[in-house]
Amino acid sequence: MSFYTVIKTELSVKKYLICALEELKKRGEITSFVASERKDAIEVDRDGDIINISREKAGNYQLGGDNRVVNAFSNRLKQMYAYESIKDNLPLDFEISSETETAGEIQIVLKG
Amino acid sequence: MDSTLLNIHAILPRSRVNGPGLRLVVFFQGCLRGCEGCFNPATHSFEEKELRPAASLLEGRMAPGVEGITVSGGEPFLQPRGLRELLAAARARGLSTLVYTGFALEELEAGPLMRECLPLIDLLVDGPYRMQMPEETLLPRGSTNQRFHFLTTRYSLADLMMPGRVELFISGDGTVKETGFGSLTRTVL
Repeated sequence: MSFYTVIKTELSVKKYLICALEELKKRGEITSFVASERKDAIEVDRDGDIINISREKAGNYQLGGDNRVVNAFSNRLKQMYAYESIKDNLPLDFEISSETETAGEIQIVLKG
Repeated sequence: MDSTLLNIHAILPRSRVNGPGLRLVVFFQGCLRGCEGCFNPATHSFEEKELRPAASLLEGRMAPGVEGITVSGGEPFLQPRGLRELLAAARARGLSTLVYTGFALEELEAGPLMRECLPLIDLLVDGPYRMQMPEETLLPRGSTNQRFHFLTTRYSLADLMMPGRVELFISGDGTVKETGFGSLTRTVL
């Protein structure tokens, strides 16, 4: 049998949050972001809409701001976070064979 | 005639690492074998996961470019009536069929209901998973004891080198689906 699993992404590692935000900025999906080390928080400017990302007691990061903006952005941020996390953690014996993005879904094939 | 209900673990609309070309993959729910190190322990239970009529399972699910279906699990042959209906529906659409099983082909030939499925299968991959014998090439099987049976002329061994061993789908809400013959997400996410 082949392997199959489904995993919900949680925003838990700041490093990958920053990587995801950098990628979204590069793609023009956010205007800018400022990370505060002291408060363990990030302020994101998305074309004038401000989204605040802060760490909750359970350890994961959560988004605050206008619900309309936050809900859509949260999903996209989780997608990019997962993408950055996977790329950064590939075992040495795996390499990306192909990578495509269609209909809002990122598909990665890995050779091992 | 009413269609048999299948107990399904999951359906993956398209995959490139579960057999030749682009394939829809159906994971059956329920397996008694308990192979050590099984990739899919969540498919072992026989509790109802998702009941779907076998004959209409493919309706509205075929992504463009899909050339066939792969049936994985769980153990597909523990639901032989539904499996046969699903395979017949795939054949009626001109789709190729690949089925994974922990049974040996000889065992399937000895069981009347299971035997009826065989003429509807292009490629059968048989045998239990042996974690001490991992497949390390790009052939689509978990362990090297598992055998490829080309039951029709549709495919040959040359068609079975996959473009990768693992495939990840990151959906628009950050959900990650992983399939193939190995797992990264257990350690990565």
